[in-house]
Amino acid sequence: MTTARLALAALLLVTLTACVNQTVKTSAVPPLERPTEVAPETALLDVGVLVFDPGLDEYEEDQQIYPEVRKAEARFMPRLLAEAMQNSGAWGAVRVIPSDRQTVDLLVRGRIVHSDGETLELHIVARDARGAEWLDKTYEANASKYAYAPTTRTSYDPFQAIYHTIANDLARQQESLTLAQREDIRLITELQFARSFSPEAFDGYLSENRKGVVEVSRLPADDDPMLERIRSIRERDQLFVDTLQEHYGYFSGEMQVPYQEWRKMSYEEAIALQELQAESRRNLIAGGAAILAGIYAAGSSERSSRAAGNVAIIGGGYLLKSGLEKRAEAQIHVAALEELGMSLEAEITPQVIELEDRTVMLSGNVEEQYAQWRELLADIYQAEVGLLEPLPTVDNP
Amino acid sequence: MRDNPTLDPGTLAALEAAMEAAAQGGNAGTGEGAGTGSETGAASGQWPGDTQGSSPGNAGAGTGPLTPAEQVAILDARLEAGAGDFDTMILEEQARQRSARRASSDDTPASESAGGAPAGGREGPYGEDITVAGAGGGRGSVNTPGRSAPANTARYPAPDDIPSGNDDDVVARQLREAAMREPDPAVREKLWDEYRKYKGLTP
Repeated sequence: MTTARLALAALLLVTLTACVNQTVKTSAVPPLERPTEVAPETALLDVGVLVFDPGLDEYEEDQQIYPEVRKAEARFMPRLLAEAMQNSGAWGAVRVIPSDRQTVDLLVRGRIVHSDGETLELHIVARDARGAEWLDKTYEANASKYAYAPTTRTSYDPFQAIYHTIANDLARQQESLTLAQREDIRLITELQFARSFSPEAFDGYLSENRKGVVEVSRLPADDDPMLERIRSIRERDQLFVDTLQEHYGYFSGEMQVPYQEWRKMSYEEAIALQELQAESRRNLIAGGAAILAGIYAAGSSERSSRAAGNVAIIGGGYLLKSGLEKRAEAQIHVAALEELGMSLEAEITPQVIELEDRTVMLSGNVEEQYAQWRELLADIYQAEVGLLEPLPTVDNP
Repeated sequence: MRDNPTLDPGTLAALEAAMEAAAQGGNAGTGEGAGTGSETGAASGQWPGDTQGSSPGNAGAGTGPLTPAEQVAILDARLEAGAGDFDTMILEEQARQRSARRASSDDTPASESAGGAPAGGREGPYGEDITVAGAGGGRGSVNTPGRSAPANTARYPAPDDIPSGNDDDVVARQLREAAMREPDPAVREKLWDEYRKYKGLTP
């Protein structure tokens, strides 16, 4: 009985903690929640928002998905989320990062499940440096027609609500941590960074507990020369990430106007398409029903019923014709959507390629430098060990 | 729980010794002792923990075997040289970004800039400062509060008699950077003396 209860409780817990969905109203953008207390700088967590997964793995040809547009969105949307988080004042530096090799206090990953002018669906997962999960949730938002009004459009993104909601969820998670826990996360990040550059010197400082959560086993001295070197390198690493932000910012600026225009027009086309499809469906059903009723009435013995039946058949015929016409008209909107998507794709593809090239080139140069520093740090560690090794021989000639 | 530092005593003195050795290597005309950013990786690969005087830093000086502290100091100097190259690379990238931004803003039609998205920051509808993503292009620094360059590059200004350093070679640059970082005034002055000696400046 106890086992059954435990199993039930575990099942309930799994259900509660498993990925959840939230539908966000875009017409009411929630305000950014600000921290209740000003945290000391040592407890401000740096956040890395990884370039989103464009969600093209299960992409099928008949879906109206334009791969290059998705790739561009995968670089554009993280920036909006990063800005929302930064604007909340709850975090240290919030940056878009190109790969999860970057060591950050909190890593936010996102996957674009669906994106067009009408609907945006994002799956967000966030973990801190300890490996603790903060968020695993799917957010969905439908744009209202007001989202594309000229006054609204210049103020914020049509789906700003989704970014504010995510930022608020993460801020609430952070609020639930004590200052000591936050400082611990920052320390773990530093030691992880140190270990990635000098595993020989920093391997023993971190360990994983039974739940797979990273913990600090021991601390290096504050004035440990190796840690000083690592800190100097880390400052450079942060400078590199900051430089990348310029690239993402420039790309977003170039993409902004055509992309938002595409969203607006595709929203209008999608709404028109849905209305026509609904009307077409209604007319076809009503027309079919009227014809059937007319045929039934035409077989009646009463003259008036037969006349009414004929009228119903003619009326049903008109409705059917209208329904078919609406369906054909809807096809025009489908083609228009296709045309809009392809047009945007042609416009932004060179920018996506340029951003990718610049990011890869800069990352490549940086990685090359890092490899050299790793070798040097390994040599320094060996030299330091060489300094210490002869000491016992003095005591034991 | 904190570890005790392992290399505190003598580190500063070793740095000075290594700097001198590096400077002598540079004067000897070999240049190997100092290395450059591009040589760093290859140079470190040539020296797998060798302590018998075959390291590049020692070869240039033509003196006896280096102590571990001297080895560390020389490796530190290479690390610094790499950091200098890294900073140069980042600065060049930032300069490229600035010129691309300028070119882009020159190309932007007047009508677009008038009717398009607002450029830069503004007061958001919820009282927060919102910067529309990319509006105006290249304003990525919104996410980078107060970080322009590594803080340890130059903490103490150079004395008045020290020239700008535009023509510094690698050894001179290392000496200059070490001096500008050095908190101890006495050691700092020694490092500047080394710099003057190396550059042939009359004190």
